[in-house]
Amino acid sequence: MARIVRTLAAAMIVLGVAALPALAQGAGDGVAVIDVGSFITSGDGFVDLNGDGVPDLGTLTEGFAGIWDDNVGARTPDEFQDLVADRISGFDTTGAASVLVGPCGGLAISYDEDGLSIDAMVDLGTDDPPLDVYTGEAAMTGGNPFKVDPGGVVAYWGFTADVPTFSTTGEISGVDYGDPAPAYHDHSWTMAVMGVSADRGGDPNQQDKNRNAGLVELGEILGDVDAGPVDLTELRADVKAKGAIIDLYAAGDPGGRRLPDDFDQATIEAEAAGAEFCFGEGWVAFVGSGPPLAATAVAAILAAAGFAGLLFNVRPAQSWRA
Amino acid sequence: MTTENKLQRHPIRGALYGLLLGLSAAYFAFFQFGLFGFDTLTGVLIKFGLIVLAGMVIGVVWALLAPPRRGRGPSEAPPPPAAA
Repeated sequence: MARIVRTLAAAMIVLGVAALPALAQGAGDGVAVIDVGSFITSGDGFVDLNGDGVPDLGTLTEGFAGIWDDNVGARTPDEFQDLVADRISGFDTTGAASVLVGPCGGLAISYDEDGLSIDAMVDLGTDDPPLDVYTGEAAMTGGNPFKVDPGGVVAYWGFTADVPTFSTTGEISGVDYGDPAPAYHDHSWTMAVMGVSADRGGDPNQQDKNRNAGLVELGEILGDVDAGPVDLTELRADVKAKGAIIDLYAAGDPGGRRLPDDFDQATIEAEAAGAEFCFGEGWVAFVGSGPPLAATAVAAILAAAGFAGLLFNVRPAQSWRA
Repeated sequence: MTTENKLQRHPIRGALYGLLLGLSAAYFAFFQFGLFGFDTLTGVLIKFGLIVLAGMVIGVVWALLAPPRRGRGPSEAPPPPAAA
């Protein structure tokens, strides 16, 4: 009788462990407290369909990548995996806070696979960290990560603030850019996720662009990655990401000088050597449905076997011989 | 007649069952509950390994210190037969 009770108790614990995550699926983030409409100045169809105060995904015309960009979307899966093969040993794992320093700002909205907004954050180009559009609190922190659907899309609108210390390399003669100089030139940028180099690029920027908008189509990118039985478009995990851009870093290098894969804020400051730079890091939460049921079932069976084995087959046994 | 009592412990068996428990605990901690962030690959591997190791240690400790199961026979010598 006692064995049956213990077996039932073990089964209940295992079932509870497996079922709780499904019950813990949270609701959305409510209604936005920051109006982000002023950021979205081009593109058609950005209408708030789900009533959360953040425009849902509209239509963007195809743009142009930077000359030195590693265009992930145009790569084969093998090339993408080669790109992310670089391990970064000095990745900061301790900080739960988010950071964005330098004259960079912008808006990022994450959409689910139906194009409905699920999270948004904005940075006004100051040294303050980015803000959660829905709550007004610091975004991309360990406690309030930027939520993204791994099968969805992230849309971003970025800008550089007007500071007098930007380079004027590449200015087109006869064009009045005003004062101060407006943009990064001959720049290099890099991004890393979980200590792995995820993307990098750069551009001479002879047109002095200081605005940029685009989409990160996570569903397509992660869907192309061969991760064996794991479907990365259903990933559910918090990951740490960081990125940097340095003005004039690639000046004089027609191939586009590449930023080091292993970097932190101090590294970027040293590499910039007085030139303008932006550095940011924070937490991103992938909110997919998680691992497939089969994997959870196998783990539950392992748990039940281990638990039952410890209960019934491991305790010391007293034997005797007459 | 005399009886010889022996307490048999199973630390290797405990470690193996602890391994199963640790593997499943690590799976649920990372992939179901999200108790740990995916900060770096190295960090994830270390934490995953520590959870599995903790399961094995628990199994070994349980095998060594748990109260023994009752034996299937008498643990003491039976009383001597009555004189005829």
